[in-house]
Amino acid sequence: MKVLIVDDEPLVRLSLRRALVKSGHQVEEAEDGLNGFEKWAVFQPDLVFLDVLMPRMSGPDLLNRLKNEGGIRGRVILMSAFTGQYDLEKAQSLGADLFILKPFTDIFAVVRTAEDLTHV
Amino acid sequence: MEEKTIQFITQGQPPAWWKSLIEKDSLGCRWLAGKAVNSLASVVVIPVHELTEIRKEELSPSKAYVLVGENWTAQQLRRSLALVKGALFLDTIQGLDETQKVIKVALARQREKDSHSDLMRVMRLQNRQIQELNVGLETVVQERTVNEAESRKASQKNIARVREIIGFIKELAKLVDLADLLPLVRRQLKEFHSLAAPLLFVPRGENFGDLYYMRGSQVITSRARGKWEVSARIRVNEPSDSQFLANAAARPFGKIIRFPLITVRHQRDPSRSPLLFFEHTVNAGELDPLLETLTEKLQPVSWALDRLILEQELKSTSRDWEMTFDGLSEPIAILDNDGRVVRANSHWRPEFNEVLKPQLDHLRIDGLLYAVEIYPIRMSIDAPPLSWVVYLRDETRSQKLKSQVVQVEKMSAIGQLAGHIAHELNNPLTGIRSLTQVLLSEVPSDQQLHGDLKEVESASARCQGIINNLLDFSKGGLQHKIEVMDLNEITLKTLPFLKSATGRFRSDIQLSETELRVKVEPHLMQQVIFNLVNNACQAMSEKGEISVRTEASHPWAVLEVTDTGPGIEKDLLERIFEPFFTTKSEGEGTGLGLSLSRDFVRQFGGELECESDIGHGATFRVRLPLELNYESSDS
Repeated sequence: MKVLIVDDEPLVRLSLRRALVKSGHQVEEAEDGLNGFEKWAVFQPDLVFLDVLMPRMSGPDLLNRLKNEGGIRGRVILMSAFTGQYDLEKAQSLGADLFILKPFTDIFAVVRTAEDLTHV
Repeated sequence: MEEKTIQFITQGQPPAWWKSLIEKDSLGCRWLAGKAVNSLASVVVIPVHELTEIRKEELSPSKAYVLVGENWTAQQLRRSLALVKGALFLDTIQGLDETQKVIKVALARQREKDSHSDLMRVMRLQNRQIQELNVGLETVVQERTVNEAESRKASQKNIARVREIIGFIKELAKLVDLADLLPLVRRQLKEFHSLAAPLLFVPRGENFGDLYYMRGSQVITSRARGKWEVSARIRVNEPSDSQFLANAAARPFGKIIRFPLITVRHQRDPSRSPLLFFEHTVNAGELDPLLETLTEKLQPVSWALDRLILEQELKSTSRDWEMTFDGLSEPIAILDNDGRVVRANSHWRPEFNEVLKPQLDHLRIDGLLYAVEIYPIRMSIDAPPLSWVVYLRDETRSQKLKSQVVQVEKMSAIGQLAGHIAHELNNPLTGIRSLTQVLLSEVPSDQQLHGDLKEVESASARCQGIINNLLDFSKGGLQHKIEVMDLNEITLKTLPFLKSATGRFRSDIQLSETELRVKVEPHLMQQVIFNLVNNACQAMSEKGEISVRTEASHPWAVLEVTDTGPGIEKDLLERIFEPFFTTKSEGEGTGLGLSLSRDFVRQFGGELECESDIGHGATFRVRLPLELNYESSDS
């Protein structure tokens, strides 16, 4: 499947890409929300890993913009280090399908969660 | 020369020679003849044979007598002389001339007699005058004597009166209490039965004053309100006075004498002068002398009263001042220029004198913190200070509150900071750990690289744990929420932050196997544990062991922090919980750690105590109520 990773931390993008590619997925990266918005339209991903806090455009802002301009296509996993401020409910209200707390304890568990989400 | 009368006594006709004598008269006399002695006659010529006819009483001694006879015998002469003393004798035989001579002599003698008798008369007159003078003098002397006695009596009376007044003044001078004046005045006036016991009114303000009056031997004071007119003159039988007293003393009054006591202070404004009142039964006619006496006798009362009232006002002013001074809840003292305490209020303690130094702005004593404020007392703005007022403002509570606020603010700032740091670290850390996990999956497990990557992975996992704890700890600064938590969990989350403090020492952590559910604000409880462990480490200068133990001791959850430091002296065991009590050097500790910790623990319904053996360290024990019903209420 086609996976887009939108995160301003290069190591997060790299580690996710390596783990996803290892499982046979096609991966694209964006280092901020605005870049992610453009890649989203071009790449047409099945799944998007979306960070909350990013320069230029945050994850929630990106989701809002997509909703306003024809809807969110593909599954979305929102990731955040801030506990308390975001949870699954909040993420779903924004248009995301899942919420994953950073830091990850197991990258492969995250990949499995993503695969499970797209197979539903 | 006045004409003299010469009389010839005869019962019949005078003899011829008499007639010849008259005819021959060269004497210038009047001549008479008669049976009895004529009172006008100066010279009486009596024939001897006529002598028998003459009574002796008729012979006035003021006249001259001539006895006439013929051929006088000695016997005749003797007899005649016995009859008429001092008479002249004439013998008609001797002729006219001789007769004339004898008569002349008789005239002369009579003149002599006349002048004698004049003299006698003058002398008698003078005598009488002297006598009268004498009598007058006697009267004068007598009168004078009486006067003198009277005046002596009068002056003695005056002296007695002056003595009495002086005695009264002396007694007045001895008076200490205004109330004692009344019995004294009553005694002074006891002779006036028509006067009742005096009442004294002392104005204290615009329309109120104190009325002193006697009930038996007791003096009663009551506050009287109302308006009263005062003049410097005595007022008698004024109904408004009776009414005024009736209102003040709550009983009816009859006729009143009002006696103003114009004291020195009230001479300008007599309306504020004290008043003496007497209820009386004096008749109108007797009033004036009585008032005069009263005025004289009561004169000294004004003087004494002035002093008494001044003293009383002074006393009450100074008492008011003292009460105000002592009533202030914080210590105040007046110091002289040498720093000696001249006067201090009841909250001032002798220890303050010792520690008070110039330029000292705060004073810490017995767990209390005082801000020292010093104000100079000057007579005028330019004058050098006479003394100083030192005011110690108790800042213990406000400082403690301030410290708490600072603490909370600090925590909230740390919370925000930690949040940012956690976010900044979390992202790369997530990458590091995740990438390591990916690499681990690509490297065969028998290679050394696999083992190295494993180390990186577990180190980044530890870092994540630390960041999570830091986030929990800092979160408390932002939200104050009482939660039911496991005391062991809180302890375990706190200990990692103490590694730099505990690092030098051996640590012995023994946590109870069962959960110790307590109802606390987790971040405050973390601070308590942090403080206790940190203090324990600071107490041990070199090597030592720090142990942290938890256990359930129903109904308490107990946490003990024990060190092997020098221990705490017995008399300091309670004082270490006082705010600002510290044994650490300046800048190292606020002296608030233990005080705040105890406050927090007590907030959670628990207690923080300390036990110590000198030389064998100290144990701080936190007891918190166990939440026994937690499971059931949770489910």
